[in-house]
Amino acid sequence: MSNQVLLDKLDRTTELLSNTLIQLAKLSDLEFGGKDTEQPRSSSGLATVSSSGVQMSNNYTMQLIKGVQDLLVITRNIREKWVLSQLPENKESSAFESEESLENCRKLVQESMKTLLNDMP
Amino acid sequence: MDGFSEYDPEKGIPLAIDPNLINIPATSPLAAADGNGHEETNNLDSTATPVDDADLTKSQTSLIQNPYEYFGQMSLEQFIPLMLQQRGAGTKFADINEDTLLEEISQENKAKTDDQAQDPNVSSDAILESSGENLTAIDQDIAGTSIKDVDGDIQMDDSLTESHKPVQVDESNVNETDSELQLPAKVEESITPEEFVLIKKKVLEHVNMAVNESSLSLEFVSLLLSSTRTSAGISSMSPYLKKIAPPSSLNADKVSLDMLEEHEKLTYDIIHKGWNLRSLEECRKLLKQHYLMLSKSVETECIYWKQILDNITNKDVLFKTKDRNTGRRTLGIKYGFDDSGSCYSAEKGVALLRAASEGSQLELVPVLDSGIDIGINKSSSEQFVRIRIFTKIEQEDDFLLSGQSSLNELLVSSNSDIKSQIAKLRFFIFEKELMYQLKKEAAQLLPYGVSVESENKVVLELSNEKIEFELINLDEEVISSHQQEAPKVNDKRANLMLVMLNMLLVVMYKKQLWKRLNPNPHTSKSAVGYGKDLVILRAILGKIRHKKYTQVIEKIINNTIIEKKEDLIMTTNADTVPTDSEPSKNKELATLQREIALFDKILCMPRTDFTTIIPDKGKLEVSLRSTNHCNAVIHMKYTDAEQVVKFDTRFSEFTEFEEFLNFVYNEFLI
Repeated sequence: MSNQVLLDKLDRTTELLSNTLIQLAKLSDLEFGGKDTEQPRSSSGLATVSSSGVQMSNNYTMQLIKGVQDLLVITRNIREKWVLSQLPENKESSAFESEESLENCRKLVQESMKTLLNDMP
Repeated sequence: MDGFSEYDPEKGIPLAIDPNLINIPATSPLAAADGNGHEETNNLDSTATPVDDADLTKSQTSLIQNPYEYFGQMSLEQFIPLMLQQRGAGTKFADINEDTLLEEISQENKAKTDDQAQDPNVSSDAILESSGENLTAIDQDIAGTSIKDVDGDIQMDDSLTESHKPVQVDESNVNETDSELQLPAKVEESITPEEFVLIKKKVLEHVNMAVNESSLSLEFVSLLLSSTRTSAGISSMSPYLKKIAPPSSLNADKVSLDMLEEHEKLTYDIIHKGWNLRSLEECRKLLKQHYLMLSKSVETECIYWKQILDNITNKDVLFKTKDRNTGRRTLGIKYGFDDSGSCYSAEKGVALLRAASEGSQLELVPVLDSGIDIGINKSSSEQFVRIRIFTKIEQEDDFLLSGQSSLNELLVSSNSDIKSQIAKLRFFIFEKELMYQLKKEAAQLLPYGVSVESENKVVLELSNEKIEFELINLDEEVISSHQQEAPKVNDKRANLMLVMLNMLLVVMYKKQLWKRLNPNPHTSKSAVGYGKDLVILRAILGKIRHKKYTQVIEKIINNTIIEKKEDLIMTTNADTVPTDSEPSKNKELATLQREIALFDKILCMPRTDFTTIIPDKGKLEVSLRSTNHCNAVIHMKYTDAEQVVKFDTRFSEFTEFEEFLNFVYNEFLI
């Protein structure tokens, strides 16, 4: 997934989250189905409004949760991208950078070999 | 006449005239009047016959059955007898002439004007009635009774007078029809007949539709009614409906839409609010539950990534993978040395970086080839190479442990973080490969005292000591015994040897890496492993053996030449041929090259040159070389004082060399 795709997804998810939250806040208004809906005249109509309200608030809640989960997934993706490509450079450099240390190494190796041989009975 | 009957007002007005005589197409009013008295009019019609005949415009729609039309179309042979019959017996067609007819007409006219003068505002009903009366009179007259009319307007004896009467009625009727049906009259003035026909059709359609619909509603009502009042319902049902739907099969009920009263509304409102509150409560619970779950997982993730950051550097090879056990996405780390040039393929060298179930700890789970990660298996995975040196006890055919390589610090340390875990995994896989390669090498070194004693043990036997390379499992016992053991003489050598072996394996890696980076087109790519380049144990063994050979050669030279002559100096030179590869331009490659070059001296074939200069007799050069690190090839070259090469030979046997050296001494050096 490219960076742009990730960012787009992030935007979409946050947008969705805010919208859902707004809807949920509207639904939490205890007055009859909010201001825009007509007051139903019969008992069955009233029941319909009530049950649809319950259903809607449940839906929005689930959407909200889903959105947050999506956000988490996105952050995880971003972290994976980071760990797979952009780990900070380690300052530790090769021990054999300088000629001097290289020469020392060579001597050490030979010396150790000599020791190995000289101690032979 | 048989078909004639008295005028019956209930049956309507019999049609007395031929509508075709008037220049109006047959329209409904006349048609309506027509239906009632067919039979009467049929016969009456004969009176009108003189007038019509030729230009009868046929009514297009046969709403009425116009008998006059019928008469008009009759042939004279049929018509004349009919007419004579109507005029009464005894009349002859020859008697009817123009004069009598004219007289009849004038009489008719006079009677009519008298009538109109008496009652000028006669209504259409009256006219019709009067005409009806007239017709009755005519009927009576035609019936053959010559009774004079009461008012005496019409002479009953003279049948001719009657023939004009319908015409007059006709005229008055037309006038009245005009006044009554103004619309058709006006329409006639302004529209063409075609348009009129069109309109008429439309009207008819509407009428038909209305009839249809009304009959449908009648059917519906009848069916509905049949359930309560069967007989009444059935009577008005059509036979078709009766057949299709059994009576009283339809019922109806009145359901009242109960409008909410104020207190009901209130109740419902309360219920609604209750529902709403309850659902909000549910939502709250749901949100809280998920919040807890998610925040927990966020925490876990946070710790996981923090640990990754702490433990992983950019030198580690990470990759995305899937945990086969949990099915979750996770990161994998490669601890094997594939990328460093290792050819060891018995183990994948891959581990999962898994968050432990508690979420707080990062877990390192090596993935085995079987696909089941069984964790770090103590018995099979944690193995390391131990070198033990046994020294031969003099006079006894026994060996004594004189040195042992120490445990790696890594194994002793109790540090168990991910970093050290990774390091341990690396250590173990390296040790296992080392043993694997040692075994491989040992197979080729059998002639030089190397044997594979068991799966995990290689023994190198020298003249007075034995060196064991053993891959042993790491367990508490090993660790404790190692810690308790007293230091021995050869511990250092054992350690050095182990370090040297490790380093040599690393050099093998680097050579392999070099090969991968500089692919040689001449070598086959299919070759896996180090092939001829595998020089680990061989290098050490070769050096040890070479040392021995050198001692032998020195001894021989000393014995054969130096001890016999004085002032001889022997110089030995153990220099090896320097590699003359030019440094690579690539920085990484150059580093690699230099790193490999560090071990050139150890890895190249051992060679020692012995030069003995004999004064006045020339120079003896002996070179001890090897073709496979472990064997000995002796090159000998003798150059005399005149720089002439006398001998340049090669030996692989020391005894031969010694004998030859003796021969050379005796021949040239004495």
